Amino acid sequence: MTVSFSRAVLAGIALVTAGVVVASCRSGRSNATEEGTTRSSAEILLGRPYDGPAEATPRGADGKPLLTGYWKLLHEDGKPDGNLGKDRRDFALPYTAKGKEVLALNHQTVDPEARCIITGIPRLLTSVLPFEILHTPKRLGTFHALSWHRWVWLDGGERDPEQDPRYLGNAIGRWEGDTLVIESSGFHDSAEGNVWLDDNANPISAQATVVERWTRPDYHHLNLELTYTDPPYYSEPIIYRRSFVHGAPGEQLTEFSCEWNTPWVVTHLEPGPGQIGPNGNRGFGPDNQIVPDLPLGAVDDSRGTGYWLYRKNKPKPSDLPQ
Amino acid sequence: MARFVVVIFLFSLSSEPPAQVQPAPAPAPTAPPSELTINDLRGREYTGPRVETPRGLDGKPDLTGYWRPLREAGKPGGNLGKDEPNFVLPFSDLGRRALLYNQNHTVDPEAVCILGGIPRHNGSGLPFEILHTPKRLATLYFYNTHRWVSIDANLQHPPNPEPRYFGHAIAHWDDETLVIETVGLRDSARDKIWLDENGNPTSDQTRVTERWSRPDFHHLNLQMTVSDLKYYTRPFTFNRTWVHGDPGQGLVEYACNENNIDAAHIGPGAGAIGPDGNRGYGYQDLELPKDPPGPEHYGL
Repeated sequence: MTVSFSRAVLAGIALVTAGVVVASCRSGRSNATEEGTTRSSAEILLGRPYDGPAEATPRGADGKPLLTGYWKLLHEDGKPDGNLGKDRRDFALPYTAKGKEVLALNHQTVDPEARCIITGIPRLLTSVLPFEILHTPKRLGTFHALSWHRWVWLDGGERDPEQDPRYLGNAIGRWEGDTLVIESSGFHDSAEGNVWLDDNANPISAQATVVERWTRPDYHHLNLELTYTDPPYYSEPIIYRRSFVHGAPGEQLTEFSCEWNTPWVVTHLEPGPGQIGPNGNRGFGPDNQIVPDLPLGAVDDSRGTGYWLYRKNKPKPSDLPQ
Repeated sequence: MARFVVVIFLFSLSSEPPAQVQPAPAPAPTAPPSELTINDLRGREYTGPRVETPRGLDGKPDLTGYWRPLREAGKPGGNLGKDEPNFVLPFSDLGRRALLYNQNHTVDPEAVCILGGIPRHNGSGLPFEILHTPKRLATLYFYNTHRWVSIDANLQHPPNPEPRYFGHAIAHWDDETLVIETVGLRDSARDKIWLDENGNPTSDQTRVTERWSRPDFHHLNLQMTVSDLKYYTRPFTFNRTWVHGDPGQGLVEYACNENNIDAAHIGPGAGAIGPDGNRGYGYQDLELPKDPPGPEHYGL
């Protein structure tokens, strides 16, 4: 039963993919061609330093900075993305013995993102891809590539002592001056096999807390300082900093449906993050790019699975004959 | 989890609410409910004093909130034909064939965690959430999906839009009403998309016009017109009212694809539609357990 289904799915994916490739060529719909350029995905997805005149930080009715916008990463040369150890010596995280055990377990696990399971916090915040914020007076949403989103309460409530474990944690924000401080706790544990701390398959425990400090010093810039504390798996807190630049007018997230999570994905993918180079980066595709190719879905512009982002370590049904 | 998706679905449509359903509780700043019940999902008429419509920085009504649908007595949920004779939409010949195709070939897209799309979500029996800023609005739905709307009277649809489940949505204000126009939707004949929960078809010609208004804090009204002259002989309308959730209520994450071992075994179609226009016909007498069955029931 399973075998025949898998075959059907393989054939289906191959057919659909072939059809989409043809359709894309005909209509010129892919992200890159839609813009009428041959710009690389890095040029399209990564932020570039803003050198125009500074514009004032937009503010809400409460006088606090508004974080709403489409934010592109200011990638740091020589620093890995998708690695929470980015700002540490040799990009090395301070694992405990238990942390190393669960790291080894994650290396035996197919990437949860490839299985279309919710990509959690802080992993979403380590992504190299742009993200978007909608900031309303009592509720803030961060929206991420591959159709993920998470909510932050800004209504002055306190942490629910009965909170459920979640991939995104339970996030509550408050203001310290002009800094939005978001504290999250109540996470799923990598020991359960469905969640990674970052793209590099580092482990996260149910005891983890994440404190994000967000500032928008002017219209075009957004800064994050994140403190990750997880005593079961890490012997000291980890500090992680990033800066983002506002996208050009009209740039925004678009729909993505993570739906190619077939049994084939779960049973045929090589587990773990793949080889992490001395640069601390897992990389995308066989050339170890720092930014994945477009379209992200690789099935068509808006459908696929996170798997297609990263790995070409095993043959896929959509591969052309050798 | 895919099985739970389907079960919750039927709960939301059956005329008598079962005692409890499974989803995790919404976060509440004080005294959170220990479990979310069907009564937390369904809207109840608001009886308190009128509270003014909140407004955004642009002076327009702010639609942000957690919205629970009000059901109309004697009308089906999840059926965009609720205001049509016998609750049946005006199918064209091609539309009847597309309906037959959906019922015999297409597994409910939501049951396999595919984006539910527009207009389907506006006919859903489940609450949804809106985050609204002056230029950009998102509607967020129960199975961890969202759609984007850009607000600007100068926007135009692209001439050859990439088909999507939520289409291409642009919005403008007509006085106090936010008008969202959507085109560029996927077609039931090619893709896993349904018009509504009953498995009615939608085409690449579908145009959805939503007129949203918030006359006071607690109410959100939709007047929706769906025009799809490929599968239907004329445009039809769908109107609905939502009431604001309790303070501290909001959507929470829903890991639709976690352990979806049953996804490959779900049959196609929405099942029989009863004379009341509801899906789930024939299941009314089924005794549903208070708690979902544990893994021991799945031969794990």
